[in-house]
Amino acid sequence: MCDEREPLLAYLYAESDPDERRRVESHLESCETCRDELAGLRSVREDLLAWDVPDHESVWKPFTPARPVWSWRDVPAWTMAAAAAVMLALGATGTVVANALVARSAGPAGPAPVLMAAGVPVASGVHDAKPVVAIAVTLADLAALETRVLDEVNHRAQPTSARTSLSSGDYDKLLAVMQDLNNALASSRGDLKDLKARVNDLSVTVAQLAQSQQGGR
Amino acid sequence: MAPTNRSDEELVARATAGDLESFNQLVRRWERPIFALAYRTLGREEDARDVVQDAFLRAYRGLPRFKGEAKFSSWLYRITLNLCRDWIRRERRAPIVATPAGTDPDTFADEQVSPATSVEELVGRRQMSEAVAQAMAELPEDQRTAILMKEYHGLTFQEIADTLQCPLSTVKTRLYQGLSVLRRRLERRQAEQASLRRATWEGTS
Repeated sequence: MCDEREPLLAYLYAESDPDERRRVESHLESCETCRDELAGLRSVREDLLAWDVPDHESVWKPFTPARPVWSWRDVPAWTMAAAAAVMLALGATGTVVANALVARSAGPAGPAPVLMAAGVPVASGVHDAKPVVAIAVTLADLAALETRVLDEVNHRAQPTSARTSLSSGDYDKLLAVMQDLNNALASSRGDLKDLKARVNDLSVTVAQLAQSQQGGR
Repeated sequence: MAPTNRSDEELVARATAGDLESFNQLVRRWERPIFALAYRTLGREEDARDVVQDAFLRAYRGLPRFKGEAKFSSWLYRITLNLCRDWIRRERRAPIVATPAGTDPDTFADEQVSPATSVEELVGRRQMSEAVAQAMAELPEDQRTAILMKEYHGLTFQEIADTLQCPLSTVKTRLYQGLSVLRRRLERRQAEQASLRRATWEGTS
């Protein structure tokens, strides 16, 4: 048994079946090497208990029910393009990863993107592969989407007859865009706390909208 | 407010059917363990918090595809570990060693939980916490993950195998190898500290 570590490990964690437990106990009575080994493993387990985790406040904003109805025509155009591109990339490669860079200043041609995300097929190698999809998000785009989504949340009192409900597939696309933005932000460098917070908040709200839309059917 | 004694499976079924409060309950139930797993894997609170947020958003989006073949917690642990792995690869470095804030014994004195705990004991515990974090950070990822799942989350060998999607014997091998390496490193550290204490004592006497 001295060469078999699995029975000793199962005994250490009290996962042996009764027969095996008896066999290990009987062996331990006559084998000092295995007794020492077991004592050493128990000691390291005690040491591991010292590793504390800091207290932290919940990062989760609880979902609250909402019944939004809105139209795609109110969503900024880049969202549609990005959603389509992301879905295309997902379909072609199974998954994407996002790389991000932050523009330092506004160029002469117009407002600078705060975030550019490029989806890269993972299967063929992150570094070698050429981007198959790119989206650029300006602060104005982000603000427009925030306004539109928040408006949707607060819009329940307004007549809904003139509005067209989104399909669950549309929401999936919008959620995919939010995921892509989150990924892009997560992999970007620099002080992006505010931007991260905004995109995170927006992600949660979009998830809530999608869920309540699904629940409202 | 919905009853809080529902099983994970019931809450998952309700959340999938559109009951948002059921998903909130799942988050309340699992946020602390998920944070602990992410923190011990990555070593930094801020990154762990980002992973927690992302893990629950992904879980929420993935609910319709969650078929219940594994336990909800195993599935959530897997999502979290995948996010941590992505983070480590993205940063192209090993986990940071999580060091306790401050090493001033005066600060520790304020944290005593009982009059019986001396400042020396508190300092010793902090140092041991740091030593464990250091030794764990140096382990290969698969051994570290197996030990985290077993020691801090109390999963059975089979549950770890399900979470990591690997054979049972692989889980046991990783655990045993990881524990053996930790044991050697921590014993060596304790021996070094004992010898340092002796030297200090002899130098001051």
